[in-house]
Amino acid sequence: MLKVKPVRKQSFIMYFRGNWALYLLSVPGLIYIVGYKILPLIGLQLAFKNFDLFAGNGILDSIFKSKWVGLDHFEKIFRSSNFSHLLGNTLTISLMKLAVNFPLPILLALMLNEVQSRVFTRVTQTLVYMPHFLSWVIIHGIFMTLLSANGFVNRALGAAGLAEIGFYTNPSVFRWLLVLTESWKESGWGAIVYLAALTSIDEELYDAAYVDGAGYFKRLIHVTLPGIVPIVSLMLLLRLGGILGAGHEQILVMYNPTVYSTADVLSTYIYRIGIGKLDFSTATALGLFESMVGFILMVSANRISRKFLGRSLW
Amino acid sequence: MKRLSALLVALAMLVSALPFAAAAADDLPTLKVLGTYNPHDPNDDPTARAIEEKTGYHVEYYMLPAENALENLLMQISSGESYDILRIGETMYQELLSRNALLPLDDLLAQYGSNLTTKIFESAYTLTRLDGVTYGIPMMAERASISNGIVMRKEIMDELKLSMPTTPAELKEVLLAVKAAYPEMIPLLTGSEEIIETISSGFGFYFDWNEVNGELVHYVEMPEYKEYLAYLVDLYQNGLLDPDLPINNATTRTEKFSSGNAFSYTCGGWTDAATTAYINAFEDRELVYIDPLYDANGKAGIKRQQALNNVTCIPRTAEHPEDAVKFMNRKLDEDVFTYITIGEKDVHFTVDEEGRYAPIMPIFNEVRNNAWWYLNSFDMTCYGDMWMARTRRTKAVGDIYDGLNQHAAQFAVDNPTDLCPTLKDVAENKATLGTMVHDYVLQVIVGVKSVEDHDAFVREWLEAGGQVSKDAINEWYKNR
Amino acid sequence: MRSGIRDSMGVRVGKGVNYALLTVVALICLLPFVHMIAKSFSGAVAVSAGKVTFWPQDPTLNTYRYVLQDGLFFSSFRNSVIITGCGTLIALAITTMAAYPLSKQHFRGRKVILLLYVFTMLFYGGMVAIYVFMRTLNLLNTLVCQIIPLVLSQYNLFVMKTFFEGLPEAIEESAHIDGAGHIRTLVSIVLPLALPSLATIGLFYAVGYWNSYYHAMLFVTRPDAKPLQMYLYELITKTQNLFEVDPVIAAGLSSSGMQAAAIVVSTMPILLVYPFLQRYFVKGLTIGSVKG
Repeated sequence: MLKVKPVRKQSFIMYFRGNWALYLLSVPGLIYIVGYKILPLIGLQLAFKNFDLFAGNGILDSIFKSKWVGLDHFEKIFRSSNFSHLLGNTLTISLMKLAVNFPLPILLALMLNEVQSRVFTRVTQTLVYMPHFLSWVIIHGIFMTLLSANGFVNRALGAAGLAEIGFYTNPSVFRWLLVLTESWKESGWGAIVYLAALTSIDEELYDAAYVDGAGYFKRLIHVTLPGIVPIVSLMLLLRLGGILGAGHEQILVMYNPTVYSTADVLSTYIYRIGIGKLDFSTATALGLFESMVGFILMVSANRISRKFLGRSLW
Repeated sequence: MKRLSALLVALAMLVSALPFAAAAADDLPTLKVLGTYNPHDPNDDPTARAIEEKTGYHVEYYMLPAENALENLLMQISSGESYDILRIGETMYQELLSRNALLPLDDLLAQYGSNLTTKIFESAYTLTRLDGVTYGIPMMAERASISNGIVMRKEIMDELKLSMPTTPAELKEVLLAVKAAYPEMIPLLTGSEEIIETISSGFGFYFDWNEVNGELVHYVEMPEYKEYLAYLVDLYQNGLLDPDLPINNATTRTEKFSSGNAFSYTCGGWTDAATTAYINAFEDRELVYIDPLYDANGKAGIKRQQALNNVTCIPRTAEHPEDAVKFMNRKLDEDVFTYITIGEKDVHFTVDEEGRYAPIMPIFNEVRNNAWWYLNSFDMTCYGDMWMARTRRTKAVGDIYDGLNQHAAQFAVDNPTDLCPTLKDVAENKATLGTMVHDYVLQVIVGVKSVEDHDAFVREWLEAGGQVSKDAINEWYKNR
Repeated sequence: MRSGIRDSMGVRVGKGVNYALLTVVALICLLPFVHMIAKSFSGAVAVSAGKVTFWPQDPTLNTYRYVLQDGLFFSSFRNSVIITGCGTLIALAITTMAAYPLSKQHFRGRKVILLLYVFTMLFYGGMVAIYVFMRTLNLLNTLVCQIIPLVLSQYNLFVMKTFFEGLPEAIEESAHIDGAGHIRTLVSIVLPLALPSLATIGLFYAVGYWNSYYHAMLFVTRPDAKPLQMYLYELITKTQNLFEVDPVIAAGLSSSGMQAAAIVVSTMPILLVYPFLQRYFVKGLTIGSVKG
């Protein structure tokens, strides 16, 4: 799809001479990445050490002087009695969220895009993105007044002679509560990036489609969707990288002991049991594990995407 | 573009101007004090000004964050941040102590700390010593008192002609009667406590660690605890506890109790939010405080809290350790201490013939509300009485304090582990074990787990650190 | 343009349904805020008892008086404005510069650099390491240490790059033929075309800065260097034992009323940014520029 001209044989020096500005533009970002992101990666060695903050002279020295313990911290994580169960919960919740909360913002953006009244669009857009600004503690408070045993919904169900629903105490219902509260919080915010992509679609393409007599769905399939495919696939790819982060903060705020069986995920378990508390090493090890899984997934997804869709992030 | 860059420059200048210059003091050095979080500006407070005026020291105050304070403290101290005084919680103190980050104080105290050594009891110092060396100045609970109980609504008890329950069985009867008369009401709203001490008294245990045949045993291992659990399960199954028990939090509890939707509530102390909110909402109604329940042997009791709350210490990296001790010692001079703690007599507080302190409101609150934050130690010979002024700042708070302590003389028992210094093995496992028990109780009450399998839980508890804690605490108990 | 063509019956019904659905969704998102605002202006007794729904009960300004009580509120508000303002501008500049070369398929070294960004997006040295970083540069307790951590988000970088890739190539080619270098093309041709995406990314950064307090919790112990969110967060955390701290004030406050007021105070300023940015989301901008 790109008209790559046969300039491949050009020597790098020649290329650089013509395109030095591109390298110059890249410099600030690279300095930042190397300085603030790569250098601190020396902290990752803590995952293989027993970190003692006071082992050396100052923290940096302490990082280096702490004792190596090999894979002990990883073993502690993998050997915890219910590791596979926790991993299962993590993946299930993550995939449920992916299935529901990935398409929702796209759908919302498409709906908003169809609105012709400018005032209506602006007001609606502003309103739907507001829940993003509420913290999970607040959202939990709101939903609890609605959905607890004494809550509004269950009282209404009771009045109608229906069975009560244990939104917070029924283990399988609770997972959906996690998914849907996240939909409510993040869909509007997530739609912004798609809306920006939709506004960038060339109007001429629509006009041409009209001239060809294309109906609504034809325009949707042939103009609108292809216009946002790049951003959609990017978002999917980025989401895969965080597959093991099933929503630590949200779960920690919302769950309770009656739903541990389905809602306890790796990070919440480690937090709750206190292995990760004040234990920088275990926390680092868990983070490293999550990163590696995310990285492998992203690299494979990128490869698959390049092979089958001819499109890739890098 | 030009406007943009002008804006950028202006903003950059603002940013660079930020490490604000500190005011210089005469010849005394400026001291840097780090404390735990409190929602006020510590550098702009009447108490801070009073301290500077009386001691002559200019002090810069810093605060730890409200969350992850311990991690933050450790990173700061290990990287050599040069505070002169740390005023921190006991766990934080122990962490720093075990990492050899604190300055031994004995020599400094002998030289400059005449007040610090005489006005703080020796028994308190034993809690902050390690191998006979003093590293911290102890701050005990201001006054030994009872810190929790169950409150009930008097008007309902009168209406239904109920008498005060004295045993678990009677308590259940009372709750059942309320349930029958007011089906929509929550008969007993419980808090986040691990054990409801008023009820556990009815089963014969009062503390986390109880003395059984000369040995300390955690309640989890006691057969009485299993009976206590079975009792709570029975209450829940009879609809006498809140069905939303597992998801309640401080806010929902306050909401339920202060809206009149609950009959009784497990009040967690003299500053309990839900109880105070109730009293404020229904000024014409009365609450009654039930006494700890009697067990099958006719015994009852409730814990009197008397523990180490905070510690003041000096890190090895301090730049002015001598001045820090002089400064703290000066704050304990009799006139200075009274002035910075509760202000001036008959201006900010009053004392009656019987020696009872009371604040003069609202001026007391305006000038000394945050005074406790600035104390590095207190005069243990008199502060217990002076502190009562703080519990009298509003009627609700004073009422709850009095209510909880109404029969203290009759029921209060001292905790056998009161004077136990922090033991590493116990401290390390405390949070984990606490969470375990907390979760377990909820799971048993709502029926996810059965009290029949209690032995399995005890095994799990012992393995997760219970055994280690038990050994350590008994080691101390034997040799105390 | 489009409205000139008559829609079929089905499409018109569809549009009606669309409007209705969006209205419902918008209301579901709005109501909690109305509820919060009502709570924040209500008396403590009514709030604690859960009696406030969408209209203030027993109206009072107590909560706001407490939130805005002292100098700390204003210093933290000023800090947040500076951090958000400076941070967003710097971040936007660096991200744009970094994303533009990466959007060129011919850019040599592109793959390596992209992989570097992906790698650093997933692997994180941990808070000890970044604490060391800030401490070494002597930046603790400043505003700069709150700006640095969010100066380049790889996520935003990739979004930006994707937007750049979507721009019609013909325009840039014509600029090159006119003899414009990369930088001039970027500044005078590409950026005006990419306004919707700049607005989007700018919004992402601004909201990110405005809402963040994680780094401040690590790096700041000077009360007057805290950002607004940290100030409010801590205030709320502490309000749960407010009766201990200040029973007199507490008698007129409820913790959920306080939370509500804090939300109103902290979200309103940033919510106002979006409607302002929306004028860059106008369709037809691309077309106009190409033709003009």
